[in-house]
Amino acid sequence: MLELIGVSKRYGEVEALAGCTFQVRPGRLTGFVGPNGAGKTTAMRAVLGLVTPDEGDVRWRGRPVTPTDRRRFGYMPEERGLYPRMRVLDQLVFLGRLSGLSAAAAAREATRWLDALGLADRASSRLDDLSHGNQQRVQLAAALVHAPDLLVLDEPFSGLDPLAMDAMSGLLGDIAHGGAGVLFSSHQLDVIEHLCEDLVVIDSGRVVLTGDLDAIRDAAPVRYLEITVARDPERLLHLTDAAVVVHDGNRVRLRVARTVDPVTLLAGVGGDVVRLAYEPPALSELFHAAVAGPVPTTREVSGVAR
Amino acid sequence: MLRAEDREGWRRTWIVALREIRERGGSRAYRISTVLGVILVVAIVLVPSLLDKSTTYRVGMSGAVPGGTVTALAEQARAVNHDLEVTHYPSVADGERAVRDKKIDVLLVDGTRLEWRTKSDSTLTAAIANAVQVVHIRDQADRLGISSDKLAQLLVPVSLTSRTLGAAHTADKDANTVGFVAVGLMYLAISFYAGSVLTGVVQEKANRVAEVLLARMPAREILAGKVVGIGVVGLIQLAAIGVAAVTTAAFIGGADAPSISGDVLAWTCLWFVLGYLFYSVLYAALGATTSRIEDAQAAITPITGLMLLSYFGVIYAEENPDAVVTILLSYFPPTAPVVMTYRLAVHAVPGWQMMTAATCMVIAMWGLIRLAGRIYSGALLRFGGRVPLRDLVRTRE
Repeated sequence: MLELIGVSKRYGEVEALAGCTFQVRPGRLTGFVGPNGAGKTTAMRAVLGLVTPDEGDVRWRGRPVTPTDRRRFGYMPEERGLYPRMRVLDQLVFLGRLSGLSAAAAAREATRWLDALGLADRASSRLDDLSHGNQQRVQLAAALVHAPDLLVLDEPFSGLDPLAMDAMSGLLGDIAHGGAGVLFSSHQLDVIEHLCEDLVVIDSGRVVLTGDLDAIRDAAPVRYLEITVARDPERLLHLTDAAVVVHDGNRVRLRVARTVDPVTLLAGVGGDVVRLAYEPPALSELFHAAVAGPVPTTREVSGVAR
Repeated sequence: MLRAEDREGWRRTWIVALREIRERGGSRAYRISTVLGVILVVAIVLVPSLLDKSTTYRVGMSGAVPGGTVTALAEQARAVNHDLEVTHYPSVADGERAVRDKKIDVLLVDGTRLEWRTKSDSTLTAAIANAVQVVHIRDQADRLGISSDKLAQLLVPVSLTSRTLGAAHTADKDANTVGFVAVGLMYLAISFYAGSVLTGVVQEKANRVAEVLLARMPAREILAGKVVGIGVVGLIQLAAIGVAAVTTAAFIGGADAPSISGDVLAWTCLWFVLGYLFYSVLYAALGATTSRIEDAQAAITPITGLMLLSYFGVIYAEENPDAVVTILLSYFPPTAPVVMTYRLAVHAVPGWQMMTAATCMVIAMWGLIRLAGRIYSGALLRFGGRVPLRDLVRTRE
């Protein structure tokens, strides 16, 4: 398990991290979200030893992380970085050997990853002759070539088309379920919600929300009740203990306290219910709440899709 | 015994060096520049010797020419490696016309007067004067009844030995030339190969490979690997060019090439390596403070200053080879490679001075590598404008 405990880092007047504390558990995907400039990249660099914290600890398996531990980490920086004129396979073998693999093992693993990522036929191409998406895959292979115990990926989904995103999601899931810890940042909250078991939300260098994603959602004080009726949606607009979030034709989305029983609430509503959903807040709602205080005021505007 | 982690560090350094050797050594630019270098140096050695054919003295004679003058003149010409072409003119006017028409270099009238077109040639004048003198002495000896045997005894040449007094005041001309050539080569090696370390570092930072590498190894290992790798590639190229030069010189029997003793050559090679290492580490550290290749020139201003200081050091040393300032400059690590190379070429430098200077250099490099590693790791992840050096020296590793 990787732990950051009270990690702070300051660049002149800018406080990049201010007592940042969270953990990444093995065998799980941890999503790392926060507004731009919240400190995600700095936190990731601190994990990799690229940034030395002013205060706080980075611990791996219960002890302060050592350079030897870090050699078992894999890292994909946000700004992709490989040698543009070097051949793809040579590049991966080079990085694999730097991570401690023998020349033979590095060649074997690099070839295996190129196969797995569908780049077998580009092994001897120069990097800058590859498409953007393929360069991205090579970058991922570079982070994976030494079978790391912890994988840290800064915005792995940026710039990928939907098919490549699916492939990347599948791959990250496989790696985590193979036992490695995976921490990745993204601005695509739906991807995180869909993919991750754990969540870390960071804002202004502080972790504002962290833990098991399902548990966080379950612990939220509110629930959303979305009802679509065949006619007369007006009867749904004045229920006690329920705030209308969206009213769009025959569809109404209500926010209620977690303690309100939906069955009781809807008892007097009558028939004609076409669709019904009762759910904890989506990640995007939790994110807004965590980063910017309470959810923006109730929108009772007809015709605005959520 | 090295600890396992140290061994791993050396292994990684070597892997980085190996990449530089493979990628640079295998590049077309490298092969072309090596071939061009070899061709250029062979041409430099070969061409002067091709041009240096023995020229021909064209001498015209008119009026009374003492017997034996032509033979004596031919001997004189042979002594200075010149051919001789003698033309006799029936009248002085004919001879003078030939001088004006550049058909002959000089006209000898009556064996006593030389007539030139515009200016006289001192070696030719000496040759003719000697020839005329020899003929005159033979005639006089004949008249005085001195036999040719006795004459030969009279004229037996006294051999003069000569020696130079070493570093008395100014260096002798040949050694000075060798010194300046060595200094020039040193500048070339530093700006070319240490300069490639600079561009390599800036490129790695610009295309963000630096971050991928730093996640795997400490900055000082990356730095050392780059410097060693590019150094090996450069050394191979220099060696190829050097061997080509020496082979060509040996082939044409380059008697003109000043001979250099083995230990001077060895020390010079050592100073080349030290100079390259010192400056490439410096280039790497300063290069890391910029994010773009366009800014690199401004970042290396301090190095330009040090190189200029070295150059002034050499100019000063030429006039004052034994001055305290010269000796100090040959100890001061940034100027030592250039100034010491010059001193070595020009005159003997005591062994203890060499050892002291080399020791100073090694100590300075130890400090420089630590400092450069710090600057390098601090600066590599900071993009945008130049990173102020003062910030970096203070960053913790």
